[in-house]
Amino acid sequence: MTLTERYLKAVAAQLPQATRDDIIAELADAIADRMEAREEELGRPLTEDEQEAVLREMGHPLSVAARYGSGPQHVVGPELYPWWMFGLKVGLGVMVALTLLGLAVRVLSGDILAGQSIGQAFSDVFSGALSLIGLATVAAFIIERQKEKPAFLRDWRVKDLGLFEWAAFDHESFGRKVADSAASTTSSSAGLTWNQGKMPPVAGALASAVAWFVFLLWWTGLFRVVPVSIGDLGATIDGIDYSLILTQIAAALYWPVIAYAVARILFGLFRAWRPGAIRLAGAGDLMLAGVRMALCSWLLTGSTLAPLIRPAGLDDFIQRVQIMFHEGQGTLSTLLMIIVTIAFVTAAWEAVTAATRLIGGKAAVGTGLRTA
Amino acid sequence: MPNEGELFESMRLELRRGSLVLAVLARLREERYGYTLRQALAGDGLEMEESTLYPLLRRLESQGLLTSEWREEEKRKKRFYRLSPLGERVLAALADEWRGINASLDKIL
Repeated sequence: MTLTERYLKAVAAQLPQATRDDIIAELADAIADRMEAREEELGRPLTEDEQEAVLREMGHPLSVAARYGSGPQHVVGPELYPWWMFGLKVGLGVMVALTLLGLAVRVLSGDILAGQSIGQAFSDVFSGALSLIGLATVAAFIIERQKEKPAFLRDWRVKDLGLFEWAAFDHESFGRKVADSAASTTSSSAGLTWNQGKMPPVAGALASAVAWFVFLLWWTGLFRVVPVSIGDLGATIDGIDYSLILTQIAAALYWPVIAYAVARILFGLFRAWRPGAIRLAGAGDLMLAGVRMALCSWLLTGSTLAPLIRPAGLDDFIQRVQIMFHEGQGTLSTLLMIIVTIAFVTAAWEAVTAATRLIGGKAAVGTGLRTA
Repeated sequence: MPNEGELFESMRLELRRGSLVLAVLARLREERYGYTLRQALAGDGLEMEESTLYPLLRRLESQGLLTSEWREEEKRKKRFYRLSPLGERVLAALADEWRGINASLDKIL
């Protein structure tokens, strides 16, 4: 095999099948032309070193092949980079804040030794941060390779910039905020503040995706910011072991909840990407509300919790509520019954409004995005 | 901070990048293959590396600005490029733009 053949083989290996032969034929001709020109110049055949020099002038096979590529030559481009960076800053800021909070709770409650929990917190933040960076990069990689760039890069209004007033990691503004909050009653936590109640749909959708991502990490046990697991949440109350029931429900719901959280993350990203796709968003909301209705129905009828919280009928429901208020009996199970029932009714209502958006194709008046 | 030489070099490359496309299109009013095109450009004082030129030709062709065909010459098959009718119109418009920019810059430089 000649040097040229070896060189071309290395380039060919990097090229897509469809254009490979054509490009290689042209390159081979170009190299031959150059070699001949050089031979003419010297008046003799080229030595191996001289051939090598000509090939080196052509460029490394990897970069030569890459220049023929049609896609972008970067993972996160200059247009998207500030968004990628901002997302990471906010995500990491929230993660660090939550970890510090969890750490404080653990140490103050005497749960474990401070040294041990600090070490744990460090490793949690580290692995959580790596997941976050990885996920953000994958998302950016995919966005860079879409024909149409996401709408949030172009369609923005000054009055929607509430989310970007976040002053994470900015000690100067943090100090100012602390001074402000000491002077007035507006409080801020961990230096992260924003204009509440003015969250624009796009920012809301992004925040929802980030929140669900953090929840997903907690649920799967990858990121133990909140120093409790599902089983710790319950206790034996009114003679009923709620820890056991919770553990069983959590086990039964493990994968469904992961699927739901992933769906929420993707849906949040999608809404940020295409704020104008009202019908599709309505369809998504309708489906998610349907899932929540199914979950509540299951809790009321099929789960291990069902025998405790299922009302026999409307009369029974009202009676139990009355008993709870008047006599303070069976409080937790009745409370759970009320919560699950309200959750069901709320989900049903959301399903109805989502269905009207799906049919009408218009955003509901006055309602921003719900970040459930 | 980059030193003056590096700074100049990177800005020079940026400046050249757009104008090279114009030069390639203009030189392909006449049919040529890669090597002769490169020589012609070098003769005009516009040196261009193969690894830049060949992918550029392919991109311009996929955009419909050039047409190409494989033909035998000097006992080897060569790929000949020339400006397409669309390429001619775009080149004319770009040339006007170039002269405009040039005239404006000349006034202030």
